[in-house]
Amino acid sequence: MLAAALRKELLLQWRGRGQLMAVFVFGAAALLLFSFAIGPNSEALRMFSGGFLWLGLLLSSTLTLAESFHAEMENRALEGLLLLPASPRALYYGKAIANWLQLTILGVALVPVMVVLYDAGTTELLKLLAVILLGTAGLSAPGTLYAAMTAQLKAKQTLLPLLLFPLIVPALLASVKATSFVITGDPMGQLKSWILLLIAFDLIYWSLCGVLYGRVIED
Amino acid sequence: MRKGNLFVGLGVLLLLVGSYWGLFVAPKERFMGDVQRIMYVHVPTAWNWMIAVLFSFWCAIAFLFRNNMKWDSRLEAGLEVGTVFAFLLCCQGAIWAKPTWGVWWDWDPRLTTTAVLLFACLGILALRNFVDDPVKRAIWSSVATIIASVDLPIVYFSVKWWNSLHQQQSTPQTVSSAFHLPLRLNAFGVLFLMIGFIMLRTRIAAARLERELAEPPVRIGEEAGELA
Amino acid sequence: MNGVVTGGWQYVWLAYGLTATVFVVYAASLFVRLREKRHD
Repeated sequence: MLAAALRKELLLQWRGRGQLMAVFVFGAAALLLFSFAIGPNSEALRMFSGGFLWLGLLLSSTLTLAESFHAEMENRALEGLLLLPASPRALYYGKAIANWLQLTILGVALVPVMVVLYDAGTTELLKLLAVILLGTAGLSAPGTLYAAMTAQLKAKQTLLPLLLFPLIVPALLASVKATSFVITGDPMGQLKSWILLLIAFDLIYWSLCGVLYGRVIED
Repeated sequence: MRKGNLFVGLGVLLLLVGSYWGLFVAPKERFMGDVQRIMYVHVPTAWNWMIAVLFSFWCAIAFLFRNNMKWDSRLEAGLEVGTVFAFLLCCQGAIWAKPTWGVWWDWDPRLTTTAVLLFACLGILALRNFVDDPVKRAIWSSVATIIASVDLPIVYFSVKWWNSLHQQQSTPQTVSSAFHLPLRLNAFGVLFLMIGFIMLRTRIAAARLERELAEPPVRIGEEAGELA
Repeated sequence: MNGVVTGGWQYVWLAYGLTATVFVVYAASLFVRLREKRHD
């Protein structure tokens, strides 16, 4: 059941990969704008590069998350899905995992942009990937749930970020801190605590949103 | 007389007495001088804000389990009153911070958490505004409230951690007994005021629901149009 | 900060005044909305 839902989601995303490209350009443009906001201060740019990366990812996520429900909203496909003997939980996790993958790809793609614009290189690529995976998981779980809600409303573009942004503050803080430690060094060994916080956030929200999703899309 | 009005009246009375005591009778604090008197409104507001949040959380869960719309009316009241209190709390905190720490905002974990929850509640209230179907509105508000309430401790913890390297200040944790009376008076004053507010606001929400549920559902009209 | 804060009464009045104003305005909004409901 989950496998089928996941397959469908990945197929939909593969078909819409042109859009992902456009969102990547959006994210890269955002990173560029951030550097203009700070100015040619290479020290400051490097210090805040983690923050910029995650802000760029967060802004991009509002686009990809909303888009992920586009197919369901056409021709009232959501109701059709509910008629199938598929549990809402499988539908949720299928979509959440697909959104997670999409955001991870986006995050990884933005890393070279960050390296170039902010001189924020690092050799600890595995650690960076781990932070990206955990952070985007934190965005994807509640993001998918709220995208399902707001997709059905007129003010969807404003409501999704309005609902999501306050909620993911802990994930954002942790991701930014962890990324900064990977890039600028971690003399006091604080990286592990932020990673643990991310893991806790992810565990809580991946389970909670899975439980609540059924009520959100019921008719 | 309506019960809500009674609570509001009682609350106002207690607040007047408590505030008078806190402003003019209670002694000056050793380090913060008279500015510390802000505590007599700030701490009661903070305590009662927490109660409003817990109340909203409870209503959200109660609605999801019982599917009774009266819990949605209470939730709407709890969310709105909680939002007002959160806003007030952030303002009071800033006013207290300026003379004591020299800045309007010092990223104190408790106040920052309140600010984040303020935005979260505003989001949920905005969501309610855009959903026409009362049942859907109730379900979604409850879901969003549960998600936000679960987040509260996580936000607090993460901000505390985030801020811990920069902050060395401490806020007075122990309150000596000379300050107890005005604090307690105002705490109950705000509590009764809040209970009154929630009762009255629930009635407003329930009245609107009554009107919405009495109207013929739009769907029937739509389908008739399609069939024809 | 280690010193003693002197004065600052304007902040105290600001805090109390703001608190009172918010409560009064909110209570007024409730009563107005309640009266509208009754007249419906």
